Amino acid sequence: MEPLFEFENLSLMYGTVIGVNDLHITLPRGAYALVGPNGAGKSTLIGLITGALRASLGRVRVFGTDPRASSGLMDRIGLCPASELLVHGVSARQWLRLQLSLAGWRSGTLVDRVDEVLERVGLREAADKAIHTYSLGMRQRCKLAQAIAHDPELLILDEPFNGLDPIGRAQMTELLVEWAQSGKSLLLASHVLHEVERVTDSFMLIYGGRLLASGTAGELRRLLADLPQDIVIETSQRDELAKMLAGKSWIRAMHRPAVGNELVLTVDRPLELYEALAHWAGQGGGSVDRVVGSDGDISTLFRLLVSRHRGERAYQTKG
Amino acid sequence: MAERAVGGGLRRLITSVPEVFRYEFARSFTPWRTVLWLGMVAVPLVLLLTVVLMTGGRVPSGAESSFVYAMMLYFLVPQVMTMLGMLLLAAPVVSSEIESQAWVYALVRCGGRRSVLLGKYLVAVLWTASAGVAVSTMSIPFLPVENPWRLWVTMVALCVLASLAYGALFGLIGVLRQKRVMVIAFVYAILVEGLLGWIPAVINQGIVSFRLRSILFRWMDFQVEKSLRDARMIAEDTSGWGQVGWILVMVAVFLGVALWWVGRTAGESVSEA
Repeated sequence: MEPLFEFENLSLMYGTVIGVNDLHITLPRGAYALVGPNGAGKSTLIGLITGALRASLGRVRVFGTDPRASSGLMDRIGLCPASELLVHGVSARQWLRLQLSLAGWRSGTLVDRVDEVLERVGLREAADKAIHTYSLGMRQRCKLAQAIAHDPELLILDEPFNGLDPIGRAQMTELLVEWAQSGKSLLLASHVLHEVERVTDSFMLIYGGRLLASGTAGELRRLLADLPQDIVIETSQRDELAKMLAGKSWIRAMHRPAVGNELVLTVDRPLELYEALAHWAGQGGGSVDRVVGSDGDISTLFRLLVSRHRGERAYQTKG
Repeated sequence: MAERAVGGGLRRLITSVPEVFRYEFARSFTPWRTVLWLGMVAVPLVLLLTVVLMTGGRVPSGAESSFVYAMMLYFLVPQVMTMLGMLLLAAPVVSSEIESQAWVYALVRCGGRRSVLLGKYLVAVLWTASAGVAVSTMSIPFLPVENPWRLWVTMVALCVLASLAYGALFGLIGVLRQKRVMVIAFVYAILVEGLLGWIPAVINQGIVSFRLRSILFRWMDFQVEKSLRDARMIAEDTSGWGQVGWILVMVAVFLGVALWWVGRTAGESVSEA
């Protein structure tokens, strides 16, 4: 079976501004979260995947096909864009009917399929109301409905949680979890990590157009353990502890604030620090009152990767 | 997937264009569009009837009444009203979609952009041609012309042909340029259709207004002075159906280029927009 995405040294420039920078990865079919702050290059990458944008360098393949060369590829993809739906004077039913007909569905089967999809996204009751009278959440669901209406193999969503209230977010998450569990592929772009963590376990972290890291949450957490982190240790034997750590190769920086009992460390390999701390306390060197470090979640990794420099090196654990 | 109309290209276009037409036509009944249509009908109608009432049907000596009123009707309806109507409705065919952020949905459908372009073009033609037919139908019974039935048939044909041709022309401009498209189309209409259409010989051969005038002169049997006829300045002295063929070829060329272009480059246009 052909992979879902193949990016080969993929780059796109908007004049002198970099949209996507030397992306090189192959991903099998599955559900992925594309995570990065606003302006990171998520929408640009989606534009390249859907063939809306042409790569400046490198190549992109979706299901083994060049999206700009294969007109039929779009029948296999459903796109829910980030842009607001501003159509006036039409109902969700009329609009979905149009979208399905553009996707090649015959007139005879449109009505039933539209009802089915409206039911699935919870818009059946409001199907005949004008879209411009909908709440933001309803419009998001309407956009999702057109993306899944033609039964695509890959669903791409760009910031689907934008503007949704907590109930709307929960409903959207439920729909996406259901989609991912159905075995179909998913690419979910978001700048809010914790929202996508509930939908999929596979991440691509992107910043400044570069892929900072990719892999499952577990793989990324292991990666986190190997990255320099700031850790604060509170102990009444601060000087003794500093002396013990001073010679360690994995200590990058150490700082003793003038007030309090804190020792602020920048550590290359946090696991070794924790081992050394346990050994030091066990040998009677002193007691540790508190350790404040990275919380070990993916958002920490992301912050670290971004702050460490913006993708000079991609930490790739998959593909 | 089994329910889907298999295949793309022409077959997809044939199944989806009627749906786009149906959708666009249903949503086109807005207050703005209705007022525009009424204005397109009312302005030439009032002008024509005012002239008839004020002159009592009299025309300058040496002129034929049928010729004077047919030319007035032609100038106001197929020429100006139709051109302005298509300028307003067909030129923003892509820019209005981009503005409402709906173009991206056509972009991600196989052949979607072409279907939307054709569907919207047909709706624009229907609105504009129907206004032209309405003006002709309501005004001709009051005009002092010799053969009103013949004039009505000619005007209806000219309104339909003008709508098809100007729609395709402005649609092409709208596909090529999404920013300031109305200004560009207006300048084109004034300079090319308004001025170059009167320049004889080679230049006016490819201009819609020249072909429409030629049809009017042939089908109404209007005579052109020999020197002007030889110069092919006002109209071409060939068969009316030949002129219809010319216009249909122009429509095919304008639409063909527009369809090719929109399928080729609209992605970049959207991203830039």
